[in-house]
Amino acid sequence: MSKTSLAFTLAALFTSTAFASAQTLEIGIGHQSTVTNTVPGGVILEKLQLLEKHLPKTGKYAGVNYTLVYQDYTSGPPITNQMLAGKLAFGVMGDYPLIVNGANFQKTGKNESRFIMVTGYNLKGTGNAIVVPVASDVFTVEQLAGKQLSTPVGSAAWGMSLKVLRDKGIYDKVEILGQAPPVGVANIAQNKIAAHADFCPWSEVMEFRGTGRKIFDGSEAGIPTFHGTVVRKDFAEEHPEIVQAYVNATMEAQGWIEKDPLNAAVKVSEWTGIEKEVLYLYFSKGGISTFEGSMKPQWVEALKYDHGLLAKEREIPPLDFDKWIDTSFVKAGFKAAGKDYEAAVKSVVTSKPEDAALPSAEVWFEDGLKTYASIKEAAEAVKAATKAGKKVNASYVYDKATGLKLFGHVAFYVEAGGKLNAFMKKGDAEAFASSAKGKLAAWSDIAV
Amino acid sequence: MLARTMDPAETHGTAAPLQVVSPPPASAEALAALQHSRPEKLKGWAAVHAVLASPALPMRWARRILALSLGILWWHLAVKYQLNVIVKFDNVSSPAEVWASFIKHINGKMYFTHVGVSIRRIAIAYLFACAIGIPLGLLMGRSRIINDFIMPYVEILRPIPAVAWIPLAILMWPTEESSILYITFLGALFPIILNTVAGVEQTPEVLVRAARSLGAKQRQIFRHVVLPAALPNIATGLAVGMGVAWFSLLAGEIISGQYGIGYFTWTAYHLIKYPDIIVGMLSIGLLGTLSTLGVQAATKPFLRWQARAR
Repeated sequence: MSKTSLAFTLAALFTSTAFASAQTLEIGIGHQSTVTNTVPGGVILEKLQLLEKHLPKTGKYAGVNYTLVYQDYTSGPPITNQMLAGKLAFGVMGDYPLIVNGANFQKTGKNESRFIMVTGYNLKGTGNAIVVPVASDVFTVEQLAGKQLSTPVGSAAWGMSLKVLRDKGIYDKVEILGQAPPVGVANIAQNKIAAHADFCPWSEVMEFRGTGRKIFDGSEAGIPTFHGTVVRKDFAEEHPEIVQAYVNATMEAQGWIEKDPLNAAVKVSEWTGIEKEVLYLYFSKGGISTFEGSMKPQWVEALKYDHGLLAKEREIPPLDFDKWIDTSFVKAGFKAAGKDYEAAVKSVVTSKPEDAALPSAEVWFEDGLKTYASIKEAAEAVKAATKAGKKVNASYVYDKATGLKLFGHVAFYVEAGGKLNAFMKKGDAEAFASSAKGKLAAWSDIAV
Repeated sequence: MLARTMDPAETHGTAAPLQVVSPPPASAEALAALQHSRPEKLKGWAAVHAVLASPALPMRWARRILALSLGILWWHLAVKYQLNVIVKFDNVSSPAEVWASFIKHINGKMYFTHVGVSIRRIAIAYLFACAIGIPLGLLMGRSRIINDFIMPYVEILRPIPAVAWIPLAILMWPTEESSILYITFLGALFPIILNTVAGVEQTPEVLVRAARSLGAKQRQIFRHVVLPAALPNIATGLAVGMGVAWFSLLAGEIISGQYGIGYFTWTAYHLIKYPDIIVGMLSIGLLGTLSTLGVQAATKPFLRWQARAR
């Protein structure tokens, strides 16, 4: 290349970037498509192009070309890293990574982040769970004493594990290893680790694939778990209209899941590779997650508890929660959608045992979903379908003890008084069987 | 003496087989003697230049330390004034923060556990890489048939980054420890094989023929001609392999879950602790350098014949 042509190219390059910066606005969004609670803030926006619908096009944004950059990660910290580097404006992540994000931004003393909305939640903490290999002889957390438990360090599942091991008095008897979801999931499948604790949807993925079995559900720790969105403060101050558009679009995505959970499960599965049957367990009515954005006092309380644990265990810097949590955008979003924000703050969806508003069982056949008034009917239907060569995607029942939604094929059953009862945990099933003089059964006994 | 020590970071072990450069005819010591014999006193810049350019060993070390100090000073200033020209320093930890974090860690026991576990992994993986890589390289260098059977594997597997091996390493090996050792071993193996092959292949054929015509048997030729000729390259391969082993180790230790300097760095990333991340990075760099120097020192006695031959 000659000198003149080089100079020409460089000049062209500079003018083109200068031209571009006057016309285009880049919006970077870091999300985690495989983490179920975050999908309304990331992959759904991207695939349904919801953000484009809400972005401002008038006033100072007239004629602006938006470039949306969606970056997909498997955990929150890399997103925080990108946000600190100024490359991403928004980040969607779980409760613990959110705190690490806020505290590290505050520590820089130059910029901060704002926690603007929740993308999905479970009040009692289901989504996080401790799983053992399916063939393991471990059925309770206490039996983990003297064994190894792996978990992604700094995640909500890690926090839950520390709490439960302390509560059970076996904290110093269990060796805790730090392992990312793919590593832990592979180790469970290979039977190479006694237990693995992970966040949504990995425990259910392991159950569905038949490699793992839950021995502890996050709900037993009683700390809410949720995912939400943070935005860089400098970006929010410069472009509050875009932050508002993002919040409104996320709310639309949440509504899209709620309106047709089955369709949402199929679509999100196509986009992310997470099994649709697992996603339906999260999305459906009575399922694990609720996708609603308001900032409830329970969330703030949980965040403070989580921060205390992180500060104590891993010296995470302080965080000013009052400054960090900014509800103005989500309030405006509710108003724009004609919804009552205060009412939403007060109402929390959570599972309760023997909820009369829900069917006893659901079966997802290849040609559609059917609901049943009893587990027995559902089991018979599955049996008949299998005999007829029809494929059954999954079946769903509710834990009699807690009301949690479960896969039919992983639950423990007790037949008592001509009625089938489902349990998540073997111990609960055995206790019920002896008190109700019932008979223990497995899915293979009743539906195959 | 070794004329040029290969910098492992520079080659990443993925470069083409390395050749050892012959030393210049006049040794450094002779040059030094020559300069010191000049009686006249130098003044001003000339004097500074003379000191800076002095080939004496203490001076060389002084220059190295000066170079590192300048780098740290630049790092300090770049962070202090928040340099933002293409690369941004505004959120990078300062040398002082990293130092404070380092001091905190060396006052605890955990850091040494991490380092100790990593050193043990390196030692085991590296010994396996030597035990397999050198004989294999020698055979490949001497036999075209063996070369044709093995080289395709070496060439295909060599560019695969250590992190890409993680899922399969977990799947294939019975324990976590063996998965990590395997990933580290692979890093060290290829530079050792390739340099050994190159060393054998560059044995002057004239020497081989001379030995043969003097009645040497195949085994004697191998022992007295081929092996010594290949030694400088093998030494280079060993040094490069050690460097690559260290940076493969980080990938391996992502799955370790508990100990190791790579795990330490990885966990620090997951809690966004930049000073700790840098402590981990520099620890790996320093340990890598020290162990490479160790390898060079250990191979030096085998290269003495070179000095005599020249």
